[in-house]
Amino acid sequence: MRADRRRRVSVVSAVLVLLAAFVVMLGSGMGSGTGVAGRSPLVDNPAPPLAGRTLDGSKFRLERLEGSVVLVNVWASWCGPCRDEMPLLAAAQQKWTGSGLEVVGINTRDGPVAARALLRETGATGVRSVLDPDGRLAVAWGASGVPETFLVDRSGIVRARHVGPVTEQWLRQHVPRWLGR
Amino acid sequence: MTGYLGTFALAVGFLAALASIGLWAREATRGTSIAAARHGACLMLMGAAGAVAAVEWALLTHDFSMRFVAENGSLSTPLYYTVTSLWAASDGSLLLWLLVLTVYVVVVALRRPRAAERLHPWAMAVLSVVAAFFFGLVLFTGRAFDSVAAPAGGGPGPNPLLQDHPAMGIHPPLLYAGFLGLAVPFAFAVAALITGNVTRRWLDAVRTYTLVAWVALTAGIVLGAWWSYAVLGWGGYWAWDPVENASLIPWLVATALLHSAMVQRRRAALPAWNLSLAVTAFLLACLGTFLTRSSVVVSVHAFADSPVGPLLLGFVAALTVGVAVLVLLRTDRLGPPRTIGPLLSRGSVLLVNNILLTCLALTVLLGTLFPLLAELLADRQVSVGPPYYNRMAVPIALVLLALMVVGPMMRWQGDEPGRLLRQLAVPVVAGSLLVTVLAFAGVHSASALAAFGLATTVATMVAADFAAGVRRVRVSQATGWLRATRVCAVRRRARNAGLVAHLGVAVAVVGIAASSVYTVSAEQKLAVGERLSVSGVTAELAAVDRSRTEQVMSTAARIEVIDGATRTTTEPELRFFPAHGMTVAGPAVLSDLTGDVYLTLLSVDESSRTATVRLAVNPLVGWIWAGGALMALGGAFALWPRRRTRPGAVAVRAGEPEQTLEVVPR
Amino acid sequence: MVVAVLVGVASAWLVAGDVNRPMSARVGDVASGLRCPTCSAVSVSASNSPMAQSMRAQIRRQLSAGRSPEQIRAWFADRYGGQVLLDPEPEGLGLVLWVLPVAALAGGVVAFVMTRRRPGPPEGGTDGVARPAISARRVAVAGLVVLAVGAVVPVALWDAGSGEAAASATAPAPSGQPEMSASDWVSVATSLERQEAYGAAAEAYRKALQRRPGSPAVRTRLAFVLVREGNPQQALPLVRRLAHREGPHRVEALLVLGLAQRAASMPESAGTLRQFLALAPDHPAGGQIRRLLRDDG
Repeated sequence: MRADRRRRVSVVSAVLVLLAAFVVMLGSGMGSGTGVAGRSPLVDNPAPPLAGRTLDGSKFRLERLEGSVVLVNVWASWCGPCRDEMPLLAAAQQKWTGSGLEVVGINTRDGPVAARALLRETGATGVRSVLDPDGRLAVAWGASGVPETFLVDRSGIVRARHVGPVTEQWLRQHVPRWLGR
Repeated sequence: MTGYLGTFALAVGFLAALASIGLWAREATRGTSIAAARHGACLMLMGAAGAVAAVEWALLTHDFSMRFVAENGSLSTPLYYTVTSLWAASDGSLLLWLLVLTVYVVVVALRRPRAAERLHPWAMAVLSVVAAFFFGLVLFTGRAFDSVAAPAGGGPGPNPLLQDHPAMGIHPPLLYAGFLGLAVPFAFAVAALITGNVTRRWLDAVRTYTLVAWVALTAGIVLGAWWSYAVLGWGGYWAWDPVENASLIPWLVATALLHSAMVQRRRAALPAWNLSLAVTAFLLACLGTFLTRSSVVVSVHAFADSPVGPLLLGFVAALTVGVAVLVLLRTDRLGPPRTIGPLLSRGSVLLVNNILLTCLALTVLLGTLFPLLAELLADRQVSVGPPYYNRMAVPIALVLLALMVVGPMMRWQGDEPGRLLRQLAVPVVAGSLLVTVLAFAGVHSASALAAFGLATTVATMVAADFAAGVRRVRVSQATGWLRATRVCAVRRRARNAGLVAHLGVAVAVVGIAASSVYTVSAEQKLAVGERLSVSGVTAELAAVDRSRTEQVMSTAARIEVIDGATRTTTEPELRFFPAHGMTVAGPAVLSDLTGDVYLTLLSVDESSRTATVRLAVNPLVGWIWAGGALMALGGAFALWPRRRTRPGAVAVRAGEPEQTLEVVPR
Repeated sequence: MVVAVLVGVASAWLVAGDVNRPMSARVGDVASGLRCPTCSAVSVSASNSPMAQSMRAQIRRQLSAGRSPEQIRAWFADRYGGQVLLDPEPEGLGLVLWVLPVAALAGGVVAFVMTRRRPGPPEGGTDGVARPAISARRVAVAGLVVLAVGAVVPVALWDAGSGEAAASATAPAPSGQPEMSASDWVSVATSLERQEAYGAAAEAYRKALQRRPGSPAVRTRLAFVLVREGNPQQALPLVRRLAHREGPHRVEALLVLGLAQRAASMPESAGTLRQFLALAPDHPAGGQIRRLLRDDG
C-alpha cells in the first residue's frame, strides 16, 4: 500500500511540475502576441532588386543609387497612415538630400491617378515612386503591410526596417547614422 | 444609476455564490437538505440576470454615460445588434458567461438526481466555487458599469464584423452554453473524487450534462463555421485559428467522454478514465477562454487584452492543482478495475475511439500552444497553421470514420469475425463501389476518395442497421412496415440518436472533403461588361454601385452569374465602417445541393471603373451545415427523456456485470 | 466482398496516377501554407487583404515560372522569416510537433494492450474483489513517461542540431547575442568589411572559423581582410595550401595569396597572380590584377 501511495505521489507531483511549466509558458506569453512583423531577415543583407517604371514615367533601378543612402517606402493611396507619413518623407528628402539621401516609394496595388493625387495633396511630388500594381515588389521586399519603410546603406545593404508609418524619431535615429559613414 | 444597479446585482450574486459554497458543503457533510442553499442558487441567477439586464437597458436606452455603452453602443446600430452588443466586448461577454453559468447552477440545484444524495451537494459546492470565481472576476476587474463622460453623438458601436450577420445573436451564447455545460460534469467528477462514489447515478448526471454541452458546442461550432464562411469573404469555414481550436479541443474531449460513458454504463469499466475526461473537458474549456481573453495567441476572434487573462490562468491552475490533490488522496476508492470485453467487442472499439479523440485533442492543443513554446525555449517565432493540422487530423478522422462503421454493429460481449464480415458486406461494397465510380470519374485525391468511400460506408451501415431493426420488429410483432418503423424509432431511441449523429458526421465529412479538395477559384480585374469563368460558371460585371449610410460606406459590384441556363444577379460588397476604420467583405453566395458559387469583391478602382473580383465554386459546402445540424439533432434525440423504467427492471439484463460500483469509503 | 474492395482500390490507384491540379488550386495549396503578414493568424489563401493578394500573385508568377512549391516557400521565408511558414519544418524544436502526437498515440496503443492483457473478472461475474492493477494509474504513468520522452528527445536533438540548423540559416542574429553561428559571424564580418573596418572584420571571420574550422571560403575571406588590413604575413599560411590544391576555392585562394605575397614584397607574387589569371581569365578582379602586373612589371 505504501509503495502504491509513493507512486501516486510521484505521479501527481510530476503532473504539478508539468502544470507549473505550462503556466509559466502561458504567463510569459501573455501580452506578447506574436506577429509576423518581428525582425526582418532582410536587415543586414543586400537589398532585393528594385526596378521599374516610376509614377512620372521614367525608368528606375536601385543599383544606380549605390553610394547614396536610400529610404524605400512601401505605400498606397488607399492606406490612411501613408497619407500621414508622406510629408515626413518629403521633408526628410529635402533635409538630407545634400548629404546623399534618396527617398524612393514603392507604390503598391494602386492606381497612378490616385497615387499622384495623394503626392500632390501631401506636398510630396518630389518623392519618386516605382509602380507596383500587382504588389510584386512589396512582397519581394518582405513588406508585411503598408506603410513600411526600409533603409538601405551606401553599399546596398538593408540596415533598418520600420513597420507602420515612419516617425520623425525613427528617421533621426537611423538616417544620420548611415549617412555619416 | 443603471450602472449602480448592475454593480449591486453583481455584488449580490457574488455574495450569494460565496454563501452557497458554505451551505452546500454543510449540506454535504451533514447529509440533511438545506433549503437556503437552493435559494442561494436562485439569488446567483438573479444577480447575473440583473447585471445583464442593466447593461441591456443601458444599451437600448443609449445611456452613453455607462462605460460599456460608450465603448460599444451607438445610435445607429440596429436593434438586434444593439442587443447582441452585450457580448461584442470582453466585459459584457463575461456577463453573458455568468448568466449562462448561473442558469446551469439553478437547473442542477433544483433537479436533484435521484439516488445521488451524497454526490449532489458536493457537486453544487464545486459549481458555487466556479460561479463565485466568475462573479468575483467580473465584479473586481470588470469596468463595464463605470460612469464616464458621455461622448457626444454616441459611441462607435460594436466591431463591424460583429454587427454584420445574424449568427452573432446565437453563436456566442451557444458556445458559452457548451463550455459552461461542461462545468457540471466537472463538478460531479470532483464530487465523485471527494465521496469516492462513481455510481450509475453519477454517470447519468455526467452523461446528461455532457450531452447538453455537446449539443450546444456542436451547434455553436458549426454555426461559427457558417458565419465565417458567410462573412470573411474567402470561402473558408475553418482556419485552425487558436480561438477556433479552443472550442474544438473541449468538443473532442466531450465527444470522447460521451463514448466512453457507454463503456462504463454497460460494463462498469473505465470509471477513472471517464472521471479524468470530465475534469479535463472543463479545464480545457477554461483554458480556451483564457486564450481568447489574453493576447497570448494571435487570433481574429480574440478580445482585447484585459486583466482577466492572468486571473483565468490562475483559476485554471488552481482547479488543476485541486483535482490533482484529490486524485492523490482518492483514486483508490474508485473501485476495482473491470475489463472492457474481448478484443472484438464494442468496448474495445470505443476505447480505440477514445484514444484517437484524445490524441487529436492533444495534437490540436500542441499546435495551438507551440508558437509560445518555441518563443520561450528557442526565442524563435514560429507559426502553426492549416497544413500541420490537416496532415495530423485527416488520418485520425479517417480511422474514426472506419470505427464508426464497425463500432455500432459490434456486441458488448464479443463477436465472431464471421458475423461481423457478413454485416459489413453491404456497407463496404457500397463504399468501394462509390470509390471505384469516383476514381473513374476523375476524383484523384487519395484522402478525398477515402473520405467519400468511408462516409458512404457509414451512411449505408446506418441505413442497414435501422432497416434490420425494423425487420426484426416486424417479424417479432407481426406488424406492418409503418408501425414497425415507429416502434423501432421509439424503442431504440438511444441507438438511433447515436446513429443519426454518425450520419451527420458522414455527411459533414463529404462536404469538408469535397470543398477542401475541389474548390476552384479565380481572381481577376474586370471592367464593366467583362467576364470571368470558373468551371462552367461565368460572372459578368454589370456595374459598380456606391452607397453610404451614417455608419457604412458600401461599394457593391453588380455581377451577373451565368450557370448553365440560369442567370442570377448578385451584389458582393465591400463595407467600410469609418468609425472603426475597418472594411468588411460582403460576399455573395449562391447555394444549392451540389455546392456554392461564391463571389467576393476584392477592390474597386474608381477612376477606371474596374473591380477586382474573386469567383469560387465550392462544391458540397451545404453538406457541412446539414451534417452539423444532423449531429446536433442526434445529440438532442439522445437527451429526450426516456420512459421511466420500473425499479428493478434495470437489473434483469442477462449476461452483464452489475451496474453500480459503490464503494464504501474507508 | 473482398474482391469488390480490391477492385475498387486498385482501380483508384490506376486512375489516380496523373494528378493535374488547376493553377488556382496549386496557388491555393502554397498560399494556405503561408501566413498572411498583415492579418492575425490567417493564411495567405484565407485573406483578402491587399498584401495577401500580392503574395498570391507572386506565388502564381513563380509557379508559372516553373518553381517548385518548396522553392517558393523558401523564397518567402528568406524575406519574411521562418514565421511566415504555417507548417514548421520537422527539425530542431519543430520535431516536438511531430513526435509528441505520435508518442501519445503509441502511449494509447500501449495502454490499450495493457488493458487487454490484464486478466479480468469472468464474464458476467460479480466478484467485488479489488484487483491490484488499477488501469487509471498505469495509464497515467504511461502517459507521463510518453510525454516526458516526447518532450525530452526532440529538445535533446534540437540542442545537438542547433549548430547545424543555425549554420544554414540566412538571417544573422543581432551582434551581442551569445549564440551566433558561423554564418552569423560571416555576415557580420561581411558588413564590417563593407564599412572598411578590416580589423573588426578579421576578428569576426576568426570567430566564424572557430565555429566552422577549416572552411576554405572563410579562410580565404579572412586572409583577404588581413591583406587589406596590412597584415599579409598572417594571411599567407591561411591560403598557401588552398592555392596549391585542386578545388573550388583554388582560384580565390590564388588571388589572395598573390596579393598577400605582393603586399609582403615577395617576388613569387607575380607568378601566383599570373597563375590566377590563367585559371580564371574572366574573374571580375582580372582587369585590376592585369593592371597591377603591368604597373609592377
